[in-house]
This record gives sequence, structure tokens and C-alpha cells, in this order.
Amino acid sequence: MTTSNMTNTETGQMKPFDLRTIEKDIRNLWEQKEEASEEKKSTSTRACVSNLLIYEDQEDMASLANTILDVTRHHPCRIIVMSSKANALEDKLEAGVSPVCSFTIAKGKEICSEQIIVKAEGDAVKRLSSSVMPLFVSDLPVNLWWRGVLVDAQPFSGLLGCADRVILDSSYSNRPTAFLSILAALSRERFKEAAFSDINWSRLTQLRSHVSGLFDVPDLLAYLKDLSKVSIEFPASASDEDLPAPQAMLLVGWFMSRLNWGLTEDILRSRTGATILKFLRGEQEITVDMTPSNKLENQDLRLTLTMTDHTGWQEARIVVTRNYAHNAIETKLETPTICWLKNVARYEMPTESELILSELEILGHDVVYENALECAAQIIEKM
Amino acid sequence: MTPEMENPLREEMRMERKAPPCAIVIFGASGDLNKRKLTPALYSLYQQHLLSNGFAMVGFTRTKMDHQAFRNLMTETTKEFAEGGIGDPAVWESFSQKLFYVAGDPNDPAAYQELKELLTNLDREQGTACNRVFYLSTPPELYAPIVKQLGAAGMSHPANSDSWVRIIIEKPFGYDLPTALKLNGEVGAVFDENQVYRIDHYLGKETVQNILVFRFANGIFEPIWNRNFIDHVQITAAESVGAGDRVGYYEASGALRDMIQNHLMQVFSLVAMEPPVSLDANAIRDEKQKVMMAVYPFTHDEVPRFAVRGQYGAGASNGKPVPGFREEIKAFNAKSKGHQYNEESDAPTYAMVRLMVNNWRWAGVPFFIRSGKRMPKRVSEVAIQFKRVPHLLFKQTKADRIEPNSLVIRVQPDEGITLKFGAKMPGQAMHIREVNMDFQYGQQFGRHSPEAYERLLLDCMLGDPTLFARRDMVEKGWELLGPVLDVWSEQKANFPNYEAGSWGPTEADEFIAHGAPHRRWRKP
Repeated sequence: MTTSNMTNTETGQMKPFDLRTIEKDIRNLWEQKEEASEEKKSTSTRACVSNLLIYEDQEDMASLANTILDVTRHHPCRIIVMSSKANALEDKLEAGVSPVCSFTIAKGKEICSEQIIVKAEGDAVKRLSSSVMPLFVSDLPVNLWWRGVLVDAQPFSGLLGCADRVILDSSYSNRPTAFLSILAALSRERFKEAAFSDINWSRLTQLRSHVSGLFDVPDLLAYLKDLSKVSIEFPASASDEDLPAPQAMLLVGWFMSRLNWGLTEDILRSRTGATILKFLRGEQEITVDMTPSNKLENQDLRLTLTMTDHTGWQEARIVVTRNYAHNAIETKLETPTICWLKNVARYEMPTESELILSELEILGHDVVYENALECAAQIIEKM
Repeated sequence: MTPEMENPLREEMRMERKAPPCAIVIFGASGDLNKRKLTPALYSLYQQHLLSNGFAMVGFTRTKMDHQAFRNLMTETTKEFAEGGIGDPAVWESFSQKLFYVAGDPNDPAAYQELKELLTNLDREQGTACNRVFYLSTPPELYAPIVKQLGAAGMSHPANSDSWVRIIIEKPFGYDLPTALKLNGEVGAVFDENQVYRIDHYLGKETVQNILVFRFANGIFEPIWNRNFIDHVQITAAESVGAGDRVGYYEASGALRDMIQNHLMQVFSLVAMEPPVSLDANAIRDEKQKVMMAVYPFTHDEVPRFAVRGQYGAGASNGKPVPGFREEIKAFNAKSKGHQYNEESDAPTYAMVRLMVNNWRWAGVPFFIRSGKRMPKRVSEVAIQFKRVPHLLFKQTKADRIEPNSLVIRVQPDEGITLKFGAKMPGQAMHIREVNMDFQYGQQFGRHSPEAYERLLLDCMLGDPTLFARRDMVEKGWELLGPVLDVWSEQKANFPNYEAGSWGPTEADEFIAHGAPHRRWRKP
């Protein structure tokens, strides 16, 4: 990275919402910035590659400010932060404009974007989506990051129509796994208008990449067709009432879609809380069990892949553990031909800004995710 | 088809391209290129999880040392040369366990047997899957012996139908056409052409790759990318440094061989080629070769009408006085106890050629390609100079001096693209000023571009030769520039003819303006 953490935001003064005032404030902002640059004999460059619309309902503006700094450092864009209090007694809609700047160490240049904060209270919440739409920089993609619990009402429904990408986090939901079905339905219905992303899926990227990388080794790739059992253990605390953790469901959805498995009607629940599913690939039966474990915490996840030949003889077993405390992905491997048994790769738990940035890098639909989500929704429906 | 393509879990947009299992053998591993570029590039790929678990690197040089001593050496050099050093020591430790070493003479068959045994062991112990990359990072005179020995040891072809063997060759790919043909013949006698990856690190640069995207992913530029709208094209690779300690190399090669025949001809072909039918490596390389075939092949007699050479004399660089090239040779000879170089050398430190492409798109549009040392600044760029507007509406105003539009693709530094056009200055009068629409990679993407060697090593491991030079193109490049090399070696030059710190000889200025007074060299 060529950038430093020498970044700053200045909180703009909140004023009653008025488009002309906002536009004027933005103009003034850059004129002041230019004058300051001339005085300091430095260069400030205004850059913008997209509109990032953030809805915040966690009242966690401090952590959001840090995330915004990180995001704009790598993806300069017009940030529009919205927050709302529908239950306030008074109707209020106000806005403030401020710059978000970061220095590029190698070049000594300051790259700046602008941030507009829009707060709505009372009935003004209903007008929030129509108020922010004129603030978009035209001809640039609009990404909506919904940082909160999803409600099927304004402003979400209003903003849906203007976003090219909608970024959600299923972990914000009270019923995160059940929420996957809602997301799948949204993704299906709105396919032509917008692409949907779930940050929980991005949290799986390193693990999936690691698992996928194992099968780049030709000896192991040959075993993939004999995959007969997949076991996923997840922290018991991540369970979603009577459903497994959302990451476990998305992982199964991924295997199902990539390996062309067909879901059977056989779904069992064990006393330990494990969910056991049966799939078919051609004639071959694949068993999947998802088990909550009290030994696992946070983002820990253990995946065991067992391959057996047509006689039922175990040919290979791969155990991949994402160990949050040790920042590691551990792989244990047992096959007749591969000698190395254990491998430890560094796992870096992505920050919120890294997760968002990975979403912003994608233009259009992430078909792999959408297929995995659809499969996960099918499974949830049968449960 | 690569194993990656067959892995159903691999295909997707979020996962970075990841190398399949392989062992990479670096001949000349104790050399500067490996220390400064190759090992740091491989380590960077490892840090980004872009190498397979089944990866190993084997260093091969004459120096006696064991695996651990080689790892220690690479630890020290990587600390010094890798951007960010070795970073997390635990990560370096796990990477260094994948480094191995064979000491041997490149001409000694026994050394290759030892190498073969080690590679077989690594297949078993590291899971390298019998896949091999041999990297020739040695002086060029060792290329042929190494290739021959690899063939004799039975290492030039895959051990089974699922594995592959590739060889990377560093430039220079010959010294002229006969030596290039000889080298290609020697390599071709052992390796098939699809196994040979001739590396040109210029093609690994992000902006060079962006030429393809810029031209073929944007609808607005391709329709004007032709003789109807473009007056001429300037391709520049300027360096502010002099030959310095490399006078020996430079005395033998000169600017034409060092930069133009390889790097800049590759850039030229990307700018001038027709749209490929697909992004397949050979589809792109076919189009590049087709445009090279369309370049007018000037004869020995025509060289003065197509090329200019120069050599810097004393001058100033970065505010300090600097010696001329010949003085640098004298100073080098005075210090050196070994080989003495010609103190009246005619080696060109500046070279410029005009290429004319005889096809429908480019007929009559000259491509001016120049490279020089001791120029005012380090800059590489492609400048598309558009034609003037057909009718100057603003002749009665002070605006009649308006320059034609230009589009500049900057390769280094500050990689980016600038479009220059005229705009009315605010005020009552019709004053027009040139303004720039500027795109800079650093500003818009805020992430670092991978080092050229990272990209190219990964491409080779993935079996993607798009950014590597193909045999026919290398040979065509030498064939086209052969007359210039011949004439320049035969005729005494009147050197020095430009001052260090200037933009080259006045002959080059006169040359570009000859018959077209509106044309002049850009001073980027």
C-alpha cells in the first residue's frame, strides 16, 4: 500500500436540508481546500469513482468515520451518510458537508473526497430517499451500503430503485440465517436493477479461496469427484435459533452450486443440534452435516471433507480450520499419495473497510455468490 | 487446459488468480535480478496467498552452499530489496522453507542430475506436481548451454500428461537478427515454442496492459484511432541517469538494442494493432505480429530518413554537473583493472526511429519512437497527437495558436492517462487555453499496482503467455531494425551531439519537423 493513515475528516456543520445550500457548501469546501493547498504549497486532488450511500442505524458514527476514511483512501467516492429516527416527535431533515482526505506517502499528494451527512427524524424519514437522490454524482455507479437491520419500508424501499449495488450484512439481522431467504428473494426479484452482496459472504472469501486452492493440486482434484461427506462445525453462539450459522449455510450453498449437487428431501436434526442433509450428484450421495460447537468461537469454522471410493473405502480426508485466535487457517490432509499432513496459512480477519472495499471492486453481479445464496435459500426452505 | 480451469471451486471473481503447484528453478540465483526482483516478487505472491501450497523455488548457481545458506542469503537480500522487507518473520520463515539450492556448473551434466533428483523429491515432499518453470537469469552466453543440458537431462518436457514444463528467458533475445535466430534455434531444438516465455518486464507494467483495456473496452476511442484523426504518435522512454557503472553494457548495446528493439516495439505493437478476435494469448500476439509485418522495412540507404542517433556530452542533471558518456568510459577504465572500453565509443545513448505502418488504419501516420539517457527527467509515455481541427473558427482572436488535442498514456512515473483539449478562459475575450483531463492510477484506485515481475511470474505459472514475446515477433523486431544497427556500426558518428540534461540531439528536432513543421517533440 502506498498510502498512510494520515487522514482526516472535518465534521461539517449541520444545516436544514436544502439542495442549493449543499451544492454551495460543496463548492466552498473545494475553494477553501484549494486556497489552503496554495498556502501550504501542497496539492489536493478531488477524486470520485462512485457514489457510496451509507445507511447507519447503529448510532455508531465514530467507528463508521474510521471505516469511511479507510474506504475512501482506496476508493475515492462521494459518500452520503444517512441516519434516521422515525420515532422522533419532531420532523427534521438536515445535512452537513465535509471533506474526507488522505495522503499518498509516495507522492506527497492529498486525495480528497466529499462526505454529505443527512439526518432525518420523524416523518422526514419517509422523504429521506427522495432527498438524497439529487446528491448523486451523475454517471457514476451508486452503491448502497445498508449498515443496519433491514426493514421493508422507507427509506430502504425507496433507495433500492436507485442503487446499482446493495451491500448488506446478514449478521446484522436478528435471524441471520433466515434472512438469507429474504436476500435471495430480493436478489431474484431485483436482478435486472441491482446486484446484492452480503458481507458475511465476503468473510468467507479467504477460507473458500484456501479450500479451492487445495484442489489446484492435481492429485487432490482427482479426489473431488469422490467427495462423499462434508462436515461443518461452527460456534454454537452463531446459531440462528433452529438453523445453522449463516456462514455455514452459505458454504454449503457454495458447494451445492459449484459441484452441481441436487438437494434431497432427507433432512435430519440430531440431539446435538446438528443438521444433516443429503445431496445427490449423479448416482453419488453426499452427506452434509452442520454442527454447532462450544469449542469454537468468533469467526472460527471447521470444515472436514471426506472422500470415499465406490466401495466406501476412505481415500482422503481434509480438515480445514479457520482459527480466529491464532490468525491461521490450518489444513490437515490424509491421502495415500500426498505426504504433507499439516499446513498453516496466515488468516487475516478482514476489517469492515476491507470487506466493503472488496464489494466495491465488483461491478455487476457476483454470480457465484448469487448461486450459493439461491442454494442456501432452497435448503432453508426445506428446513 | 490448466488445472485451475478444471477446478470447479476455483472459478470466480472474488478469488485472485492463484498459481498451480510448481517448482521454479532460477539459474543465476545469486545474481542481482533474483535478489532485487525475482525472490521479492515470489515472496510478495506468497504473502498474498497467490502461490500454491505445492510451491518450491530452487536456486542454481556455481557457488557452493547448502539449502540453509541459500535461505539465509535470500533472507538478507529480501530484507534489503523487497518493498516492506520480509514483513512478518513467521510468514518469511514458512516461505523460506520452500527455498532450495543446487550448486553446479551450468555446463556440468552431473549438476543437472542432482537438480533432477531434487525436483523429483520436491514433487513428493512439497506437492509440486511435476510442474516446472526454469528461469534463465544468467548472462546470455549461458542460455544455450543451460537449455542444452536441461534437454540432455530429460527435464525439458513434462513427466506426465497432467504436468507442464516452461522456460523463461530474460532479454536480450540476441544481439541482432543472426544471433536471435541462433538463440531461438537452440532453444527451439529443446523446448517447444509454447513452453518458451520471453520476458519483457515492460509488458508487466499496469499502464502498458491498460493500453489494451483503454482501446478495446471503451467505445469512444477506437473509432478515432486511425489515420483520419491521428497526425502522429510519439513513444518515449527517457531516463535522467547516465550509463554510470553500466558503461560496459551500454557501450556494447546502445539505446536501440537496450530499449527500442524490445520494450518500445512491444508498446508500439499494442498501440497500433488491430482488435484481437479474443483475449486468448495467441489472438493478441497474432495481431501484434501482424502490425509488425505491416511496418515499412527500410533499407540501409534509407536509414538516415528513418533514424537518428545521439550520445550525451557533459551537462547538468538534477542541478548538478555530470560528465559525458565518453568521460564516463574514461573514468571507468581508469578505475578498472580488467577490460578497457573504447573511450571514443560511438554507442548511441539516444536513439530515435520513425516507423510507418502500411495498412488501412495507419497509412501515412508516422510513429516516432525515442529512448535516451541523461534526459531532463525519467518518463515513459505514449502520446497520440491528433490532427488539427479542419477549420480554425477563432482566427480573429488570440486563440489561433490553439494546439491540436493529444492523448497521453503515461507508463511511468505517475501512471495514468491525460487528454489535452482547448477550453475558453473565463472573461469577455475569446481566449482559449489548453487544459488537461487527467486520470492517475494512484488517485483513482488507491491501491498499488503489482510489480511487473509479480504479474509476469504468476502469468507464466498459470500458462498465460499473453504478456511474453513470441519468437516471430522478436525476430521481426531485429529484422526491421537490422539496417539501422548495420549503418550505425559502419559509419562514424559525430558524438557527442547532445548535452546531458537536454531532450536529445537537434538532429532529432529537425527530423520530426521535416516536411511537417507543426510537429515537434513533446517535452513531458
